[in-house]
Amino acid sequence: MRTINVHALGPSGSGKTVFMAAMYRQLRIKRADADFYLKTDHATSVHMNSVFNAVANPQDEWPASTRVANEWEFGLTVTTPAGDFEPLKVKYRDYPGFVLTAPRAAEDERYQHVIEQMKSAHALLVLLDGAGVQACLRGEPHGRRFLDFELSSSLEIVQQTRCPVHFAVTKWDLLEGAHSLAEVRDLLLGDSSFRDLIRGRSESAAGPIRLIPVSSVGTGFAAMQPNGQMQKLGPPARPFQVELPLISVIPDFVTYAFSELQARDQDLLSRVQRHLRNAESGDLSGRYAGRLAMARDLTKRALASRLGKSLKATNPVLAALLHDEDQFADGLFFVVQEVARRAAALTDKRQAADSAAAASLRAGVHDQVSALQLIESQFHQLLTRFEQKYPESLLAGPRAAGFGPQDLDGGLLGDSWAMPAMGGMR
Amino acid sequence: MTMTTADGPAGRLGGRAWPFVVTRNRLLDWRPIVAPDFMIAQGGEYLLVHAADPGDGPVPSPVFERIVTTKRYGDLTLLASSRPATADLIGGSAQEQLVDRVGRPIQLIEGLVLPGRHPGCAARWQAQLAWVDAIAQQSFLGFWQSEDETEPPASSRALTETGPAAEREVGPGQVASDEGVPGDPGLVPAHGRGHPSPRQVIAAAVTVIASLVVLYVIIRVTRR
Repeated sequence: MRTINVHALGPSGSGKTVFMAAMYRQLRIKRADADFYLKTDHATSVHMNSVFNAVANPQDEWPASTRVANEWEFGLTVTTPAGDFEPLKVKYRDYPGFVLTAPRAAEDERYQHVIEQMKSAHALLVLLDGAGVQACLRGEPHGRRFLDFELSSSLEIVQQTRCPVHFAVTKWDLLEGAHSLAEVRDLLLGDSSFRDLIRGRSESAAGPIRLIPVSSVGTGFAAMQPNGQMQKLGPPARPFQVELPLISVIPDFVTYAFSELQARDQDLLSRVQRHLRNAESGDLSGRYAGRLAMARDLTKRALASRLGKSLKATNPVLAALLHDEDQFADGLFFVVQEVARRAAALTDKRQAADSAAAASLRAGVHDQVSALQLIESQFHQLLTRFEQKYPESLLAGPRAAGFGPQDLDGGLLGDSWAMPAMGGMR
Repeated sequence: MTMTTADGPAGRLGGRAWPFVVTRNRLLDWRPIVAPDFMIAQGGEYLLVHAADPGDGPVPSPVFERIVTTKRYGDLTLLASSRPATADLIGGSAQEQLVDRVGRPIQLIEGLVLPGRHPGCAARWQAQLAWVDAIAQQSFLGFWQSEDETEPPASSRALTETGPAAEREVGPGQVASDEGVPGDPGLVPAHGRGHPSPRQVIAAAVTVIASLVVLYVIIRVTRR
């Protein structure tokens, strides 16, 4: 079973601990519109629930800030008529805020190791303190510190990675109604370091960068007092979009892996795609699976080792994830098939194709690979819906809804690749 | 640097312990505000933040003991406890819990670092742990007002197991001492830049009076 490592970072007070608990709360039960849920060990479950319950109880204090690095592992579990499958684990590493901001912490051997670990993440989750963003938008003194110190310390880590990056704007309940996500995006892009980082990513084939508004408690649960403290008001907590950073990880990782493969060895990738198309062209019942298995076997013998070596030299993080002993071809096929499926969805009538594809995938789940395909498909649909609602959320990379035929045929940096306009920024 | 440990061949540092205090303020995240001089000199004092983490248990906590193995300092035994940081530390009410800028409660983690492995040593150091609480109170006010991420902690020097040696302390910029350790790099400016405590004032007064009495006796004896 593969494990995706997501590293969560953000300065003290940005809401990492509460966010993690709210995310688990939202995804621990299977939703009506999805076939997956998060599963974890008993101790983690008890911890997450106790943190969220303390947050949600108006009589309780906010949880104390994190002093130590934590690691939380969740299994993405798929329920199907054929049984339950857990094709993927997501491991979150949650670091105390001082790792980013305290220069003397950087001298400690333990935290030097942490910084190195961050550089090898499969995805980065950067939590931006919504209160700091609000202070910036209002021109308050605390806002200056947020931009000059808290934001810039995270950017140094992001700069050194190629994986997908999700900037979650926490405490969105403070901003909602008064400010839009476009305003927040323009504020961030007004910072020269942030702008240069996004520009650099847009000019390369690295993973997408997204800006995702989230609230662990929802609108009306708490209000900021004049002294900056958050006071609970009494209404129940209703987490808002806390699941989206996790949902974005898989589709964005597939996009990233595909673009990386394409950048490293376009010729080899084209041959894999051709084998795949040939296999699918004979999609007669009973023969499809056999042809696919043959194509996979051929790829494994003829192409995978060459591409594996190439990737190992240029992107060991990605190679390690795709190359699980002799399962490299499976990983490769998964990535290519998912991109092909997205392309097919683009050329057909979208809604009908999505529904039909989801139903077909659900009915066809019989092993870990097909379960992973179902998860990717559902996450991709949810991400597409989010992008339609917040088009300004994509800072760099191709749109989930637009990553398709043009990528399969060649140029990756096409019109669908986002780079926000720089005009009109503060 | 690898420290000679109490259980090591020389045993040079046996019977000594260095005070430390870990806390945070409204803005600055968790950090040591008082740490052993030998750790500060090596830039490794942040290990106290995770090594002395009391976990999610009740606050105040009982004294807990941790033995950690480090590359820089060899084995270390930590004795520590946590308590709520209350406003009396900054001249307010002892009933008022101090919180950070978003309203989360702040704690003080106070303790001693003993080079080497000393399982079950907490009882022997009980009196000195009370002394560390006084050091924490002395250091907290200056730290509470700080917004400087780069400011190093106040350096502490060794206390011994015996009471009188532990009472002999406090030079400028220094929060506790007896005879120090060989190769002492000196003391750095401390967060603990507050006023001397009443205990220190009394100790100084007693020292001055005792000196005068001794001087008077010497003069009387030499005149005979």
